[in-house]
Amino acid sequence: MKKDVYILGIESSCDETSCSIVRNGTDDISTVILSQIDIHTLYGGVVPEIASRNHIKDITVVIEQCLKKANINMDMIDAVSVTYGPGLIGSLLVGLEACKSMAFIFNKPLIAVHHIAGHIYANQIGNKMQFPLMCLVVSGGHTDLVYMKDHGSYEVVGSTLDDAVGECYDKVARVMGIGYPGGPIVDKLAKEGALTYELPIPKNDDSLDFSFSGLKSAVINLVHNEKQRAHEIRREDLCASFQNVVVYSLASKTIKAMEKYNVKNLILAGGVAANSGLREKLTDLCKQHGFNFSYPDIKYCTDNATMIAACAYQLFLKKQFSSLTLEAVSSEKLK
Amino acid sequence: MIGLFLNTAFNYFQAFIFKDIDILDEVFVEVNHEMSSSCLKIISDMLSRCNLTILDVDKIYCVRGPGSFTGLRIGATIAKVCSWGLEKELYSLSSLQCMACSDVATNYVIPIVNARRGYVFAGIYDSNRNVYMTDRYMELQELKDIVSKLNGSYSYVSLDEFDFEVMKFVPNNKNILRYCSFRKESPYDFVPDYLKEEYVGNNG
Repeated sequence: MKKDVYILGIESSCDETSCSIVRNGTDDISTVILSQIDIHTLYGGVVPEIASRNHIKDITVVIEQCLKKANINMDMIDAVSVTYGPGLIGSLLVGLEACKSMAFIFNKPLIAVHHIAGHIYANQIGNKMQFPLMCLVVSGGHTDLVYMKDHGSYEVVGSTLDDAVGECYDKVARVMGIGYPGGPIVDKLAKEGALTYELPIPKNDDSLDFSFSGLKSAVINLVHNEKQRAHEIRREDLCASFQNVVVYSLASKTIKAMEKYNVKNLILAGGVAANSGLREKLTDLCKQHGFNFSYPDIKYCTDNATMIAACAYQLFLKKQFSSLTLEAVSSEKLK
Repeated sequence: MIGLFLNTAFNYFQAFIFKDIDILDEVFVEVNHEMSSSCLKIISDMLSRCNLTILDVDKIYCVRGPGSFTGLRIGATIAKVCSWGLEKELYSLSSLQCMACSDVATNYVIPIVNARRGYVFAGIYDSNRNVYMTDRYMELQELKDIVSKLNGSYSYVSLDEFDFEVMKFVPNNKNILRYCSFRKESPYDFVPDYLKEEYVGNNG
């Protein structure tokens, strides 16, 4: 009988300190996530130095809680894995040093995981990804279309030329004064609104690339102009109009990419993968085109270590291990 | 008792392994931005040279600050996780007291770190490396005013350059063991002592 493989993962690339134990790359045995969102909400966004200080405060507690929850000890762990980048360098370093120290003291193989690869492998938790596939990665730092022929093979076929979609949501929410993080709030209000505001469709062309800075500026200008005219903005309607344009842009480019690369399987990844408007639109379009569409459970859309350990399993099978000299990188393309 | 000492507060990595009061191996290397990639490899090599493994270490000592925020976090994370994972005691000490343990024969030793914009991290220690002025983040001019009132000879010690005479910090690890006061820490709660609030700039 094939032996089960247990991988411990650590994620600290932004403002969540997380540790997880995953069996055979698919089964979430135990996950602990300590979010700092309440702290950063006070500042309207993540403050890197505050994030780093909180990571180091929490790191050993999170690791121990995860092991206790799983009711297993380090002897049963086959490898340790960690997000090495991209992300906030000070935040990444805490998780990285913790994981490298664990590899050192427990004599375990160390596996370095790209953060976006981790987000993609959130789709593997409790599921099996079917290849070839197209993945739409949508988060606060990324908006990419990734073509995968097989496990561990990533080809970025489309990308944002400026702002990431999640960043655009945050800025729009801020200018409307509706809070942080913007994605879930805009998504919620959009359901109660009507498409009454006319906004430009960004990068409405044949390419597979995205652009959101123009749309962001359009919303900011609209809000300022309405304020100057002493007109009240109907937030629900603006959220609905904004989300409609964003979802149209993401969905139309995704379907274009599916057709161009002749793939039948679509997956979603990243924090914005939790957006209900995007999920519904892609579900409808995939039905129309006969494509298979799946997305991670909402709890695996935001940053978590489960996805890191799930992704690390594929690297474990290929024996792609790192040394104690592994460094954190703030930006690195998925390859 | 085998101890492992780590100082990642500055752009040099200082580490030593000791048995009781004997230094078994020591390093003091300039690493600049490669602290993260250097530390564990250097520790592993040091232990090998001593024919030891990390499992032989009984106590872990780590500098808690002040100094480079990133550097402090690298050392503190390694120390916390090793202490937690190996179930060994963890102790911390001030980076400035560590610096004050240099070979200096004056009545007072003033370890000083440039914190930019006219500010420094500094402390004042007597010849037995007892605290005369607690470590603090302060204006350089304020420090100079306090120093000018000291009754006795004094030396500044630093790795940074100033427009006045400063002795370059060269660790004396035996002095650290002889003079320093170590604080017991929990592997769960230990965090660096930054001595300065985080900067929250315009996050827009």
